[in-house]
Amino acid sequence: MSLKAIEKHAAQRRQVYKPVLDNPFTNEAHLWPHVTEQQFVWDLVQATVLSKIGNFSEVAKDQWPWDLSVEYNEIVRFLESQSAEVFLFACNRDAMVSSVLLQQVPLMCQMSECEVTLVQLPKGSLQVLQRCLPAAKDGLLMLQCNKKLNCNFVAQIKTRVDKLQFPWLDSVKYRPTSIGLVRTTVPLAKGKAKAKRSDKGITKDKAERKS
Amino acid sequence: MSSKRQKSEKFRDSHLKQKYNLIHLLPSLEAPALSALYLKSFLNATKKYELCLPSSIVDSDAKFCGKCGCVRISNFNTKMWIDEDTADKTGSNQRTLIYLCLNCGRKAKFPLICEPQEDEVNQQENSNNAGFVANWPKSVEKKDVNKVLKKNTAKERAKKRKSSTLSSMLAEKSESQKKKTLSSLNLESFMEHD
Repeated sequence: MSLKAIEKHAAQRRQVYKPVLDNPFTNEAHLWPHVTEQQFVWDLVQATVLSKIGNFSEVAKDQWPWDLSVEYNEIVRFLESQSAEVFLFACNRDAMVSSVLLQQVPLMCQMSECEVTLVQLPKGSLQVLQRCLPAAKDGLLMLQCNKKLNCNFVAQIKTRVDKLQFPWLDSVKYRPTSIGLVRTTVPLAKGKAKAKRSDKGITKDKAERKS
Repeated sequence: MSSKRQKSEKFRDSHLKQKYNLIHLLPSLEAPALSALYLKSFLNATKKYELCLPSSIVDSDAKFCGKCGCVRISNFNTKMWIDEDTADKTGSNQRTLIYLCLNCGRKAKFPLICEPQEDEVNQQENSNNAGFVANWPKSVEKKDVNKVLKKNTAKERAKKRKSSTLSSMLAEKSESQKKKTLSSLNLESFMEHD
C-alpha cells in the first residue's frame, strides 16, 4: 500500500466526536440494551420458535401456537395502541436493515405502553430469520408473552436482557401529548354564526378571541 | 500549555453537551417551536469546533425533522409506517419508510433495500463452499467508479496542454502524411490511380 493510499484511508475514517454519545441524559451509546450471553439467547429463540415456525407456512396465522408478528406496520400499530407484555427481537447488527428504521425502534419501545423487552440479535441472524419467516423483511420479530409461550423461556430471556433507559424520555412519556391534529369541518356559508357556536372545538376559541 | 488545552476541551465538551441536552429537553417542555433554533445552534457549534459527528445524528431527516428540527419520538411527535408500491417499472415492489412529523406535517421518505445485494449472496455462497474458488477482485468495480469521477487529472491536463502547441500539431501532421506515402502501395490506391 502506498503512502498516498494510506493517507486516503485515514481520511475516510475520521474520528467521531465521542462526548455527545457518552451523554448519560440522552444515553445514545446504549440505545440498544445489553444482552448477556447473546449467543445463548439466540440459540434459545431458534430452538423454541424459529425451528418450528417453518412447518406452519401453510397454516393460517391465527392458528399458530404463538402470537407473533414480523411486519413493521403491524408491530408499530400494536405498540402504539395496546398494552401487553412482549418481546421484540431485532437484527440490528445486519447491514441489510435500514439504520434509520432501527434508530427509532428503542424509542418506540420506550414510549409504548406495552412492557417491551427489546432483544438485539447477533450478526447474521437476519438470514436465519428470513429463511424461517420470509415476511420478516425488516429484521423485526415481535412475540407476545401470553400463556401460549413457555414461561421458562420468557424467564430465561428476561434475566439476560437489560432494561431500556432513556432519562430524557421519562418526562415525555408520562404526559398527555399536546399536539392537536384534529380533523374538523367548517361550514362554507358565512352567515350561519349561530350554528357555529353550537360546536365546541374551534369555534369556542374564536368566540373568546372576539370578546 | 497542555493544561490550557485540556481546559478548553473541557469547556467545549460541556458547552456541546448542554446544547445537545437542551434539544432533547424541549419535547417535555412542550415547546417544539424552539427546536429548530436549538438544533441549529448545536450544529453551528460542532462546525465551529470542527467536529465529526456520527451519521446517526447528522443524517438529514433521520433523527431530527428536516423542517422544524424537533427530535423524532415515535408515538409522540412522529408517525411511522412502511409503504409498499408494487407498481414499479422493474416489477419488484419498492418499499419506503415514511416518518410523518406531527408538529409541522413534513413527510420524510427513506427507500428501503428489498433484496440482498448480489455481492453479499456470492460471498455467502463462497464461504459455504469449502473448496478453493477463484474470483475476480471485487474492488475493481469500485475503483472504476472512482476513475469516472476523477476524469480530469493534472497529468492528463498537462498532456493535453503539450499536444495543443503549434509545433506538436505540425509534427503530427507530417507523421500522418508520411504514413500515407508508405501505404500508397495498397490495392485500393492502385485502383484509384487506374
